[in-house]
Amino acid sequence: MAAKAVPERRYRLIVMSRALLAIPFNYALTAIVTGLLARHLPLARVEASIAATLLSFAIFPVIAMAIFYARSTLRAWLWMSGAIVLLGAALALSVQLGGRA
Amino acid sequence: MTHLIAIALCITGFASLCAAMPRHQRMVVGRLLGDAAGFRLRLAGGAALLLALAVDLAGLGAAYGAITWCGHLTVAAALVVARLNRASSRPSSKHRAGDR
Amino acid sequence: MRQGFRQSMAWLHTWAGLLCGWLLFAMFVTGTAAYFQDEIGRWMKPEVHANPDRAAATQAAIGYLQATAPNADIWYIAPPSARTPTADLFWQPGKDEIAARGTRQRGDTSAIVDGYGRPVTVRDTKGGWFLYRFHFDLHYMPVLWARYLVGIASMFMLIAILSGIVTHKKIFADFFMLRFGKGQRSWLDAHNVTAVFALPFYLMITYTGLVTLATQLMPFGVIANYASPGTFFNEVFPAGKPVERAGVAAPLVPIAPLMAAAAARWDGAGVGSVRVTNPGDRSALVTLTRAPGSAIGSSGDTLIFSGATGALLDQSGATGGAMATQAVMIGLHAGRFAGWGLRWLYFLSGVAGAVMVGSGLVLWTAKRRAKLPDPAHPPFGFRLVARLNIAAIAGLPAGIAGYFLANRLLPLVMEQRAAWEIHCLFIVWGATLVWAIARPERRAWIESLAAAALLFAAVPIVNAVTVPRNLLTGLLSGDWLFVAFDLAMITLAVGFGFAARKAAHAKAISSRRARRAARAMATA
Repeated sequence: MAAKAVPERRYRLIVMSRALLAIPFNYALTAIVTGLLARHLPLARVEASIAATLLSFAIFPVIAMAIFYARSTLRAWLWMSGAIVLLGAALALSVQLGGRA
Repeated sequence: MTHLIAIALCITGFASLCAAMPRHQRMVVGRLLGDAAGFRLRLAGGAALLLALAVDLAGLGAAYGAITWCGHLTVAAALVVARLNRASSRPSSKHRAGDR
Repeated sequence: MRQGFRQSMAWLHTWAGLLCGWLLFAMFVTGTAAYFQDEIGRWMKPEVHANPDRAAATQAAIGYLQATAPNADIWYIAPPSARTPTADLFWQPGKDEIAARGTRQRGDTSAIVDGYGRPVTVRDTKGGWFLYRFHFDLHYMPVLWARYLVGIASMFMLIAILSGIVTHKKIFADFFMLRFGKGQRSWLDAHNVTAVFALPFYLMITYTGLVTLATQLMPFGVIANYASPGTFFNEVFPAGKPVERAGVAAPLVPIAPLMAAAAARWDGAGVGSVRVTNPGDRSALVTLTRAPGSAIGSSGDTLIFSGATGALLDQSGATGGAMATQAVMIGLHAGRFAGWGLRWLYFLSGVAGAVMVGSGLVLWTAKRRAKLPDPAHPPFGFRLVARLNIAAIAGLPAGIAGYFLANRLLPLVMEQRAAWEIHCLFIVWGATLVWAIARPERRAWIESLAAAALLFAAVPIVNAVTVPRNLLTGLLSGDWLFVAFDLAMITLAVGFGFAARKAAHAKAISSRRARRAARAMATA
């Protein structure tokens, strides 16, 4: 649809780039957020795991839509990588300090 | 019985909502209605749908009634659209307000 | 992707929808059929006789197990219900038995018996259960892969629904608009109308469908808290410690009083499954699980009785909020709790879903056909989508009709009979694909829709010739299952016949238009 504004090759590159963000990167981010929720929701451990898993199916589509809506692809990349690194570090730290059952 | 009453209420509701829309009025009512009448129809339509919900909840219990209501909405909307489609495919009503 | 939220979502909706449309269509069709899987199963086993007394039928099934697998560690019985006349039995052979046999063959540790404890051997079939499994396990591929594919398609569907809601800004203004005979505009109307009608159903069914596969698709909520998933599952399903055999023989108490006690405790709800641990021993335990038909949440309550004395030993405790939510979501998806009225509403919503996905697929080609630079030689991608649409939309229903026909026409006793019924489904489906590729596109549409109509029309006829139960005998003797099934087949035949006629009609119009256009070109 943006084909008129940008050359065909560039348009395809943008689509591929955003699909990469919206599917594998999005999955990674959703997994990290789910892990964090599972560890830090104020519920019993089993309950928190299930609640986080249920929520993950709402988190994923919202992030995917946000990525295709983002004004610039570069900005989407920065936001996604930033979130994955920061939240991923938080999750790793949480597991290191708190341990697992 | 609950099913029938609720579906009847939903059909009434959707038909009123449909009649409230200027693009369908010439075909459904035969003439254009004023804003005030349209508003009253919308209100009546919404009320009928809510009443159907109340009937489902009372007749079938909270959880069961709520899902069943969604199903009743679907069936009723399908029936209203099918009826509307048959009416609009009659040659006499060629000049509809809704056509773009 | 820069022209505002609505346009970016329209783009996303188009492509997410197309990529998974064919799989989603198949999931909608088989899933919708699966709301009647028990009834389809009964139709496919016309020889089986039900026992109106369910406790007696369960006792008869236990009798079969006592004769067949007296030394098993565990018996598992899915007793007959209002919707199934047969009992499904599985057992876990004891250690001695496994050692004696060397291997554990699964086929030898399960059986299906009728309401009187007699094994069902005639007309081996997977029945409606196959359509139910295909809905999420597909076929001819490892189950795990299939579930990832199905999960991915479901997520695309959720994204397509959400982006579709955003895209269609006049969703309520166009609520009542359905115009036939206007080409692309009609397909758009049909897609919109079927999408809006059952929107709450689609959102519910897609989200809860993802939840049924939750821990496979998103295992990280569990991994973050548990080093081994086994620990998690033990907390969710406390299986109880394995009980050692006492080594003292003790007869199993009759099952009827236990089932009556359970029904009394569960406000009259039936028993969904019976598990007997260490049958024939003094340590025997009988675990009754509440039938899913009695509550929306599907993880039923359980009661544990002593198999030797019949005393109530234990009962499942209340589950937490999240677990209950998950159970309700899964229950909503499977609809096992639904009575007849709601079950038909589920079915109709599922049909609307299939129409919604199908019309969306056709819309993709209808939109692009008008803009083709050279309509006589469309690009490869366009042709591929057009042909796959035919195979998906007309081919799978035709295949299901073929599945039903195979059930009546294959020899009653044959090697791999159940597997061959299923092969028949895929043979018909594959033939439609070949046909769709070999024929001109419009002819292929008309012919495959007509073929589906003929196959569905053949089902009641073949049934009447091969089996003594049919529409007429059903009307006379009150055998409503066979009445309903035949009527459903006739309705489907009429529906596909109508679609084929519409397709032929559309062809006539468009070729007239093309001829007129060609004439105009020639004179210009």
